[in-house]
Amino acid sequence: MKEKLSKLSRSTAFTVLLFALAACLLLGGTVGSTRAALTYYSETYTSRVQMHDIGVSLLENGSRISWRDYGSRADGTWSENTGVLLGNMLGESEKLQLGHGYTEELAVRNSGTIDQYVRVIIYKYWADGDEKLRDMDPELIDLHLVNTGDEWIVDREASTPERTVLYYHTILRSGETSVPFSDTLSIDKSIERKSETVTAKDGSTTTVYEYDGCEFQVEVEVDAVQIHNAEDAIWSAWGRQVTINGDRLSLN
Amino acid sequence: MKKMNLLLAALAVCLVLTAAIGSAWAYFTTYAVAKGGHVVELSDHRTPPPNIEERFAAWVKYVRITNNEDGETVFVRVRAFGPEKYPLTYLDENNNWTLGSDGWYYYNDPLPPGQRTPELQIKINDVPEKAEYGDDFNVTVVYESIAAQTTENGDLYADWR
Repeated sequence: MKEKLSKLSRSTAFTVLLFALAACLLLGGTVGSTRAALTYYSETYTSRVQMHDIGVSLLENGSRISWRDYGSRADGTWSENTGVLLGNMLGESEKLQLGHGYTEELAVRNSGTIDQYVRVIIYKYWADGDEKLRDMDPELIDLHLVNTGDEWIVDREASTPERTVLYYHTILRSGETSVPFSDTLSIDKSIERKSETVTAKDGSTTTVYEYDGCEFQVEVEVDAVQIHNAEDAIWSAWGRQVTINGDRLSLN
Repeated sequence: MKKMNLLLAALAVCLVLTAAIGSAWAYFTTYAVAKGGHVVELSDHRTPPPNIEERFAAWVKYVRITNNEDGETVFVRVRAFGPEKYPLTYLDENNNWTLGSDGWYYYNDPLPPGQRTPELQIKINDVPEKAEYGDDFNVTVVYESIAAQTTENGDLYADWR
């Protein structure tokens, strides 16, 4: 009997059988878990208690201009809007004044139902139509940052003259609005000096300004991530290693 | 045959492990973007030059420069040329003009469109009381203007280089 069993256990057929059994167990476990939802059904109402809707909004001068909020129906849909920045900066027919600080208070709001960590990426550059002007100095576009001491952490490793990356220092609770990260926008007056004056034979002069007709562009991207397992979530989603102490975030 | 057994056993272990991989990557994230800008418009037009006005009396030329109303704010300088035997001297009653090391007289202030400089007097000296044939000569007054530029502090200056 022992010999028969021993022989049986060493046979190929036995091994294949065991393998097939393991595969069946695995599939059977998966099938069982997909049915472990609501097993009690009431005819009067259906209640769904688990909520995990993440949403974030960008505010400009107190107005919500862009957002992306995942819906409560858990069907993969979301509410979103991509707004226009600086749309109300100038009045009708108003000409841009160099050196003038236009009010541009930008902030972030948690418009979802779960708490989150947020970061902001700001891009500034010059363009002529659809063409980006890479030789023009983006630092002449001054989006004045505020609250960058403790509240908004500047990621200097990731920032360049064209791009600035900011991390909010703590959890942004559901419905909460962050402190602003900017207050004014201005174009440096020194672009007036970047010019060439040509004198014609009749004595008249033409001054050609290097930045005349160029369009300055500002782009703001707001990212939000869950607070559960935040360090891994931020590392996975944003590619940045951070340390969370309590609620406080710090960059590694 | 033993190798086949080992292979199947290893495959079974891998199947069990792969069931856990997918769930480790699911984090809740979202984002919002906005973009905007404006065109910078700076002066780019042909500016009419200032005009010079001269009047002459008692061997003195009275010179002033008027900036065109359609022009832009400029800085101006003036200089006169004449024969050596009739030297020229400049008179500026209110110190509105400054003599440069290059012989030009510079108006001290920027000249906005439509504005006029105070007079600069250019006296022709040693002219004989009774002129004779062949004594005629010319005194030429030259002026130049340049568009005013702005410093970081907003002050206007001229770059005559």
